[in-house]
Parts: sequence; structure tokens; C-alpha cells
Amino acid sequence: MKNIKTFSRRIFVLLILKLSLFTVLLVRLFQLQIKEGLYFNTLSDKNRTNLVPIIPKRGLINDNFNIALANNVFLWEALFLKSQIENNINLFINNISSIIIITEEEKRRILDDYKNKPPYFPILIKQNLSQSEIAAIETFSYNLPGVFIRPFFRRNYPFADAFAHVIGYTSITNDLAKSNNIPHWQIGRYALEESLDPFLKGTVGYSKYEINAHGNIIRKLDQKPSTPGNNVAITIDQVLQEEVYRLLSQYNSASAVVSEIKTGRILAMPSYPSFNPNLFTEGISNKLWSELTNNEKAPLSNKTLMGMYPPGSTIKPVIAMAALERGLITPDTTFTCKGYLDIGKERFHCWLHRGHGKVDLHNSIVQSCDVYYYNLANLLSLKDMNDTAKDFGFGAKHLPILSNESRGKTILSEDSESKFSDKIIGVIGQGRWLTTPIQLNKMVSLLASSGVDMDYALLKNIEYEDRVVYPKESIKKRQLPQKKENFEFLKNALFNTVNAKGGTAMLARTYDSSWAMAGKTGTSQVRRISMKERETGVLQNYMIPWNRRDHALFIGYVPAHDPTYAISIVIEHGGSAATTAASMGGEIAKLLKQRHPYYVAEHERIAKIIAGVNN
Amino acid sequence: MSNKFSNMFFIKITPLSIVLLGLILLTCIVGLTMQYSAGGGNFYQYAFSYLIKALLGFVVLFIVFRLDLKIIFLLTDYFYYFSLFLLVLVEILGDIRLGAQRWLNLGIFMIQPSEIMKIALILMLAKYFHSLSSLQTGKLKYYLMPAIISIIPFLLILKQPDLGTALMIAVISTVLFFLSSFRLRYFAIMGLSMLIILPISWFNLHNYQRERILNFLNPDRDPLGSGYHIIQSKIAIGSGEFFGKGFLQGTQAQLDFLPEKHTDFIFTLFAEEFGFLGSFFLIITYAAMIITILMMSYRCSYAYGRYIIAGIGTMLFIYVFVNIGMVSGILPVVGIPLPLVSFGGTSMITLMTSFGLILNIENHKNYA
Repeated sequence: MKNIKTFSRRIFVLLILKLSLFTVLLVRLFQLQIKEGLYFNTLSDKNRTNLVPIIPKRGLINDNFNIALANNVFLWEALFLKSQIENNINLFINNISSIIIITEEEKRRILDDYKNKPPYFPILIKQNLSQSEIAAIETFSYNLPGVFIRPFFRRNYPFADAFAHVIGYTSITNDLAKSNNIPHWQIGRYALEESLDPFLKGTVGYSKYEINAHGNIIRKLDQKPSTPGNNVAITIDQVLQEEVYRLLSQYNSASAVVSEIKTGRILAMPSYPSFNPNLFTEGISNKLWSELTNNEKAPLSNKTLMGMYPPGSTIKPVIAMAALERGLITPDTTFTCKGYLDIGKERFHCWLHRGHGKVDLHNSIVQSCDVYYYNLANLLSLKDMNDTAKDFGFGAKHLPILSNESRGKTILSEDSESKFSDKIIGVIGQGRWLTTPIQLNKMVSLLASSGVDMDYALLKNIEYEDRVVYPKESIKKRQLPQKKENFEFLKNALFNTVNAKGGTAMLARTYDSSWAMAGKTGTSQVRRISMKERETGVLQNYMIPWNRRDHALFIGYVPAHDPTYAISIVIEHGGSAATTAASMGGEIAKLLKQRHPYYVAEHERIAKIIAGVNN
Repeated sequence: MSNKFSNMFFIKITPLSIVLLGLILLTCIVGLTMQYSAGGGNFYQYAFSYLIKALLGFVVLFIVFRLDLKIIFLLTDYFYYFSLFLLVLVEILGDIRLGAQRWLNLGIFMIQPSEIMKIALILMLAKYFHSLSSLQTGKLKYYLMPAIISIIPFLLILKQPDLGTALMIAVISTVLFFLSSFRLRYFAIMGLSMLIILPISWFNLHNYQRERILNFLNPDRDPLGSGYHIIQSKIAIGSGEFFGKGFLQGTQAQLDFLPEKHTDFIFTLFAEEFGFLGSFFLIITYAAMIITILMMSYRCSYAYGRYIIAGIGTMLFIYVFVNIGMVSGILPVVGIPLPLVSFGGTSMITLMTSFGLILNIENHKNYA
């Protein structure tokens, strides 16, 4: 019975083999269910749940009088569920494009998303549907299974170009949108939209749904509402900003800063030309983008903060202050102007060829005599000029809430050698100096306030759910060390520069004794005037190409008897400052007079609110 | 008739038979429960139909149990030739389902000749080895005949193509060869020649079969396509953890992430809802079933019966091992159901016939 013995032995071996293989199964199940159970549990939860984000409404940006400068518009978009279209994407695209217009680009994106997105991910068909498109989709919905429309908010800038450099713009966060399935989640990309993003953006909520393998919602598991962003108000006056922007737009490229001297609040800071920020929220086309970046007038840069110009004659009060403070001259010190001054072998010209004759300090400002300052160059060191200029805000940033501000350059920059030639053109604000319109505004504010240095403010308040929070009252940073009487002397000179007979800024006059302007013009050379040109006669600005003409500058404040508003204007290649920039200064002064009662009323209203809170 | 538990319709039966019947009944209860769950709590979705099939299965079991073994023995050859004829017939006029010609349409119902062949082949080989004397066993020339008996249906089924059933038939034959004192060194030679044939056969596989093997080796290569099933299946099993998500609470299954959850992937649903604990006991149940069957085989006094029982036990083992191995990702996906639990009617009838045979032999183990 050898056979049976072998059979019995082998059937035992077979049994052992089978039981060992069953043990393998058990080990495998142990591995899946116990060792990696938690991991697979997470995966199965991920499978069955779908987080639908609830996008918060972005906070508004209002102006000083609650006019919305940035708000949200309500739009509709059409989407479809992948699982509902029975794998025939081409037929689906044909169907949908027979109902609404779908561009080739959109078709490509739909196909792309269809291939790459998970099954439960709703795929965008078209954004920004018109009323007739919504109606068409709803009418044919029986023929479009899985298609649905839903509303969304898009950022909108009602005043477009004039505010672009203050408000900035937002764009949809691409990376985040892809990984976390958050469409329409806008992130501030520029200016206040960027720096105030933490307040404006709010927090995303979500609805958590249980879904099946086909992407159909079974039930809602959980929900967390979104919290809307905080509304903010800024100190800018929409009316003033628009009006000043309109004034700037008479020229090719210009910018201006208007501020409140006693509080440091910025009322307007337009930069022309600008761009329409609404283009960015919709997604800007490459063509438009390259048009903007290649434009020689730099619409994408905020010239109030980034434009750097030699200050020209607007620096003369500062140079005068430097000399007065150091006792190098008195207000009575006089020099004779023959139209030029020879220093060593070189001859330096005054802008007035026939010369100003005998000039004292007062008249050197009123008539903007260059020769007077050439004489001061002999007395002042570069460091003296540099120190005083720095006191008056040169070479420093003043508005950290907006990014990209330039520091400018003072005459004693690190890379400069102390050369006399630097000094001799430095005293009349040419050469190495580079200032921004906000720095010019700072300088004139400091002169007007007799050295009371207030921090600039652009943010007025932030609205929280139940209260409005005002930032601390404007902060007095410091009092400049210069003597009060010197300030008074210079202020008188600036008053006469506009209002006295023969003053160089007479076009800035307001012809209103209660609202008199004080100020100073400046022309900054873009090119050097050659000896040959001197001999043949200097070319007039209108005879040379636009981008080689001089910049026209104006600084000023109103009213002269109670300095309240500071103005700085730079018209790039604007030619003679005495005409272009000064007259614009006058226009702005008139606008400010109209707006002044509103500003006062608003100040009083807020003072009451703050007092109420404090009591 | 002294013990009413040792009765099956007034016929005295052995204690091992009672154990086996109990295990079959237990598995069918698990099957009914899982069909109810696969239907999402709707009895008429799958469970009702399953119940009908199971009841029909028990009727078949009883009929086969009552057949005269002598007649079965005598008709073995005809049964085998008839099955072979059906396989040829399906090759000529079978219905194509899921890319394979497996089904014969008999008007009222469809039959899968390859299922019938499994039993026919076991019977045929058992009869052949029964006829070998002790002196003949082990000698190579006496294995030519059983080799031919096995290879013909193997090739016909492979051509359908039904790789799973073909391999199952190959393994059953090999096991029966092994039990019949086939020399171990011949197995070694066969193993070596397989190593040579394997690369060649790779090129003769259908594309979908190659895909299955490739996707088995790396399911992530096509996570939404053919690898999707196995990934979702592993997630379902794994997420059951120790205690399971609870009856009708399996999210993977109830939310349709599981493919074919009532048929080949039913174990996945079970493992998701009853966890490692449930899976452990189900596997133990199958192991107990196999131990019982092999014990019956061991205790059978005549070769014909021994081989039939061992062959059927092996078939049952392959069903369970391949099915659970495939859904848990250690074997490639081949269409093999979980015995008595999956929805399919054909495998139910095949298995019940087989159990009927086993019980028949067990209760006539001293038959000569």
C-alpha cells in the first residue's frame, strides 16, 4: 500500500501548504487593516468627502467720505460635473458651444481640466455669463446634464485708472486654487490691496459634502461659514484725486501729492499715466501687458513714490536754511548777480541772462537767483547741505504702507566723491540730487509747519464686525531743530515767490487773500546745456523732443497764513515750471478751497466719535 | 436514525459531513448578509436573487448527494467528453461577454462549460489514478494519459480566453499528479520548463491580460483606469481597520467606489464593514472547510473518492486564495469569485455540486 502512504503523506503536505498560504492572506490583511489601516481610512474619507470652499467677500476700500474705491461685483459662471457627461467630452463641448459662445482657448482649457482634474471637481465652462447666456443654459438644461451655474464675486474698481497706484489690484491665486480647489480666492497683488490684504481677504469657509464615486452629493456633513474681509477707509478724497488726475492728464507724464500738513493725511497722490486695474482682476492678456510694460511713460510705476527727479530750484529754501542755521549768512547778506559767476576757470550761469543785480536772501528765493546760491556753494560744505536736506526728508522713505517707494539720492551719496563741481550744481538742485514727489511734499510740509514732522497717514480706519477702529491719531515724529525765525523768514519768501511782483511762481496765485498760496517752482535739467548752445542761444523747450525736455516741479502750501495743505507736483519733461507746474499748483489750491469745508466737517465728526469712545 | 443531527433527509451521515454542512450554511449566511449590504440595504437588489440561487444550490447538493456513486464512476468518461464537447461548442457559437467567449446560451439560462469542465476533469483524473496499480504509479509513461486529459481543456479554456479558470485547471491537475506519487524530480523539470515557456507566453497574452498583470505589479500606473479597481479595493479593505465600519456602513462600497462589489469584490465589502476581525473569522471558516475536506479525503478508503475530494478541496482553496489575494492586491485581477458569497449563479451551482459529491463519497467511504 505504498500508494496510500504516499497519498497520505502528500495530502498532509498539501494541507500545510494551503494553511500557510491562508496565513499569507491573514498577514496581508493584517498589514492593510491594522498596520496601514489609519492611512487607508484617511484615503477613504478623502474619497467620500468633497470640501466646497465658501469664498468670503473681500473688504471694501472706501475713500475719506465712504465712496467705494474698490468693491465686489456679482457675476455668474457655468460649470459641469465630469461624472455626468458619459465620457464624451467632445460631444459635450459641441453641445454647450451651440448654446453659448465658447472660444477656442476656453475649449482647450475645458479639455485640459477634463483630463487632469479629479472626478468630483467641477470644471469651469465659462465665466462672466451674460443674462442671455444664463437664460440659454437654463432653457436647455434638460440637454446638459451635470451643468450648473453659480454666482461669484469679482473685485471691481469703479474709478479705474485714477486710483490704480494707490488701491492696486488683486488676482486669483493660481497655485492655491489648483491645490485646494478654491476658485475666485483673490489675493492683493499691488499697493493697498497688497499691504492691507490681511484685513481685506477674510477667511475661507467650506461645506463638507459626502459624495459617491460619481461625484454626486449624498449629504452635507459639515459647514463652516466664511468671514468677510474688513472694510477699510483711506484718507484719499476721491473727488480731489480724480480732479488732480484730470489736471495731470493734460501732460504726457506727471504726478502730484497733496497732503494735510497738520495730520500727515494724504488727500490725493495720482500718477499719470496709469492703468485700469480691472484688467488685472479679469486676467490681463499678454498683448495688453506688453503694451503697458513697453510704454515709455511707465503707466505701471507709481511716480509719486518711484519717480526720482533732481529737485531743481525747489531746494533753494533748504540750502538757504542750511546757510542761515550755520550762521554763514544772515537774511541781509547780499550778492551781486551779473547773470553768471566765474569760479576758477569755469563760468556758471544764472537762469536770467541779464542778471538779477544786487540780491538779498529773500529775493534769491522770490526770483530764484542761481548766482546767489553759487556764492553759497563757497561757504557751505557738501555735508552741510546733505544734513539739512536729510532733515527735510530727502533720501528717506515716507509711506511704508505702499511698496516700491524709492529712497531717492542725496548729494552726499555713498558713491559720490566730494567734488566742488557737485557742490556748485547741487546748490541749485541739479546733479546728484534725486527726490520723489512724496519727498518734495514732505519738504514743503516741514517748511510750512515750521518743522513739525508728522508721519504720513493713508489708512483712515478699519471696520470690524461691530466697531470701527481708527489708527492712533497722527503721530508727531519730531520737531526739526532749525530756528523758528528762519522758518518764518523762508515762509514769507515762499509767500512772496507766488504773490509778490516778480515772483517766479506767480502763476500759482489764487487771487484770494483768505486762501493765498505760498510755494516755489523748480526746473530740473534732463540734459546739460553745452557751451556751444550757450553761444548760439539755449534751445527753447518746445524745440526739443519731449523726452529730453526739462522736468517742471512745484511745491507749495495753502493757505499761506495758516498752512493746512501741502502740494508737490512733478511734470516730467514739462518744460518751464513757472508756467506748467505753478499754474497747476494754483488749480489744486482752488480745488482744496472747495473741498476744505468737507475735510473740516469730517475731522469734527471723527473727533466726536473718538471722544465718545474714550469717554 | 438514532441522532437527529446525523440525519440528512433520513439518511445517516458522518460527523465530518455535519461539520462541512454547518460550514457551508455559515458561509451562505455570510453571503446573504453581504448581498443585502451590497444592495445598500435593499433586499431585492441582490440578496433575494442570491437566496434563490443558494436554495437551488442546496437542492443540487442534495440531488448529487443521493446519486449512486457507481453510476457516477461509470459515466465519468462520458461526462468528461460531454464537457469537452461543450467547450468546443462555446468556441464555435458562444456568446461574447466582456471580451471573452465563455458562455453558452441555452435559451432560458446561460452556462459556462469551463465550470462544468472543472468537475469533469477532477472526476476523470480521479478515475484514471484509481485505475493505476501501486506498481504503475510514479512511472512517467503512465502520466502521459492524464497529462493529455488535462491539457486539452486547459488549452480550450485558455483560448476563450479565461486565464483564471485555465490556471485553476492546471493547478488542480498538478495537485492530483502530486498526490498520485508523481516523482518530485519531474515537478522540478516541469518547473524549469515553465520558466522557459513563461516569457514566450507573455507575447501570446491578450492586451487586457498583460494590462492586468502590469497594473497588478503597479496599480498606480493608471489610477483612474484599470488600476482604479485595485486601489479602491485596497482602500476599502484597509479602512475597515480592526473592527470594521459596521454593517451597511462601508463608505467605499455604499458610495460606489468599489467595482463589482456584489460579485468578485464582495470580500472587500466584507472586510470594510467587518474589519480584520471579521476577515479573520471568514478565512478561518474557509480553512476549517478545507481541513474537513482534506480529512475526508485522507479517510476515504478508495482512490477514486480520495482524489475527487482532494481535487475539489484544492479547487475550493484556489477560489478563496486567488479571490482574497486579488482584492487585497497580492495577486493580479482574474475573474474568480469568493465561494458561496459572491453573487454568481454558475460558481454557486459548481460548488454545491462539488459539495454534494464530497458528502456522497464521505457517506460511502467504505464503498469498494
